[in-house]
Amino acid sequence: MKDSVLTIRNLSVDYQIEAGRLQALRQVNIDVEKGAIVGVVGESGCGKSTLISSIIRLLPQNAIIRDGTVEFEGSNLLDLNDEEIRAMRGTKISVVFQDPMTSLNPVLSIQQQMMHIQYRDQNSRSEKLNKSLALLESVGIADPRTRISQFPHEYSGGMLQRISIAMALQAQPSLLIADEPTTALDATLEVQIIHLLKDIQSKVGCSVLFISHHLGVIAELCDSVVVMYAGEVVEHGTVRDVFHNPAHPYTRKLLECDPAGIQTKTRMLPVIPGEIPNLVNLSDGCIFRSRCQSALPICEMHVPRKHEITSTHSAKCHQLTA
Amino acid sequence: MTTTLRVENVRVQFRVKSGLRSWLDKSTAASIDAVRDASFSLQKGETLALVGESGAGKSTLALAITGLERIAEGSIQFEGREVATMQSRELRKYRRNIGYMWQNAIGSLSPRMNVRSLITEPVKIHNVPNIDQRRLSNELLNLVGLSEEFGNRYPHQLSGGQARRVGVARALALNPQLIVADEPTAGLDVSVQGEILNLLNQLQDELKISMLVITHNLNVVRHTSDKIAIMYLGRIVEQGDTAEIFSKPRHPYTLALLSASPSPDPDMQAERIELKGEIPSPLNRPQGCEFHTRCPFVKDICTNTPPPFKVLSNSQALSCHFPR
Repeated sequence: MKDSVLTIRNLSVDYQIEAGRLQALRQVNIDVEKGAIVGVVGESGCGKSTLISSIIRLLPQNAIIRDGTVEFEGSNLLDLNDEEIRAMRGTKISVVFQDPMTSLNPVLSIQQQMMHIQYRDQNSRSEKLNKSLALLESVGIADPRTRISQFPHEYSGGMLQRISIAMALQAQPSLLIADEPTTALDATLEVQIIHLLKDIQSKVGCSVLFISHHLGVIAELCDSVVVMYAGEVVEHGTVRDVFHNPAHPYTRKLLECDPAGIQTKTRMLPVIPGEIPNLVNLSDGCIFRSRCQSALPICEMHVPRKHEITSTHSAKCHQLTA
Repeated sequence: MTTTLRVENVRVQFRVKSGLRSWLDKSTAASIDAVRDASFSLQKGETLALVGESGAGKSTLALAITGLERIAEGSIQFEGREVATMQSRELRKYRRNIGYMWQNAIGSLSPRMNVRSLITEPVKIHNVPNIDQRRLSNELLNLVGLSEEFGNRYPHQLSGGQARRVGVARALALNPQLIVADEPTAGLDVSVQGEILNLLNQLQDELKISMLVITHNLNVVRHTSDKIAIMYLGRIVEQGDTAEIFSKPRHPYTLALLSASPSPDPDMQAERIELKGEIPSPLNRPQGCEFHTRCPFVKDICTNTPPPFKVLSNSQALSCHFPR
């Protein structure tokens, strides 16, 4: 077992809303090893935003962390005070967000923004500028010296995402969280960004937590994958484990649904019928049972436990233990 | 088979400088071509997919077809009638024939109207006489697979997939001959994408409408469309039957688009044609073949001579000096 950079144990987060308590995350366990790229597969409502916000401690006011720890380089992020967590953000942990058009400030030039984020360093202005130029160069922005003084609207979406990645890597963080960084981009640019992330990761040596609902991207980029459904980790394993031998019915369905995987023309594409259950006042039982085609009577009664299929592959489903 | 739509050599221009500025500064062009020399035809009951990256001119072409964007050259004929020369009164009447599904499903619904009034709004706007609006809205809701209870909801109470269904119902309200679906699956989860595509397929089989699907994701149209037109920088660079394009892509750009979609199998490292850089600006179109700046197979002739649009078989056509 290699060193872990991020270890999430039994993380449970609720939101206090009018209707009651919305259990957004329940007993989530995730390990990110040093230098590894871990993918999180999840559709809307699976809790991935809550997960990211818990790690960088940007949860909204009505969130309650019910249980669990988020160990990062030896300290529990959930125990840190405001000042300590602020020192972590951007230096040790940084995030690349989904939409580069909205994550950059439209009224400041790229130069201003890239210099601002180096406010912790004691370097001179010219040193900071040189560092910014080198960063832009490293993510493949041609002619950075003239382009750095431009504003976000003068760049294309793919370029802006490259800049976001450059800015996230500015302080050489040990953990990079990428929140659907390619969803807003065209297919040909998506491929470029994935290769860029892979390149940079091998150069900088940081760990990456890569969140996406695009199965193909995860298969190509990641070492291991965590499948989340409605606030739970339902399956976990290496990409080969999960994509070749999916153990959880949800993972199997998801792989079937992907239009990229269907080679012959069909007028009826497979879907997962039903919707994500309401997470307020949850009853007992498996969270996926209402949409599962092979649900057993036991699925109504107990939440399935984690079942180890191999030393690297585990899933939460009663059928594996029955 | 009757032709619903015939588009011939259409050019759409956008002015980038005001009159005075373009007169004073003649060094750069005053307008850009968002769509250039686009031609295709769509038969009744058929689906054509316009595929390309952002900036390829797909949406502009679709807007020109609905008469929302004026064309500079060429002709657009809908059931034999010329759209480009229609006056506003005629245009309004003509638009009844076209249902439009907008790209942003939730954003295109007014947040202050409930679903029932949203889906009967087209009927009110066009003053269709003798319509029982309540019955119509229930019929439409059933048609798109939503229960009648949804009629009382507001857009913020809908999920992405449900909003998409409301968009389909709205597009169908006037009983159109043609539906334009702009990125029908953008932003939807994988498990819901199939639902919307199945719905479109099913409606087309039942109602025999023609469809124009706009997307940047080739996988979306593999199962929905009969024909595909690949657009790059405002031009159609390859078109043909869907099956043919998927089995025998000839244009390097089509090849790149096809291989750009990573397969959900970690061991299948397909030989990928990765494109360098990004789509050039239409203000500054490359000389020769406009794709040569990103083409992995570029040769000398590509940099100076534009390739002709060659018809290869009765269905497939493309513009490339060295088709694969």
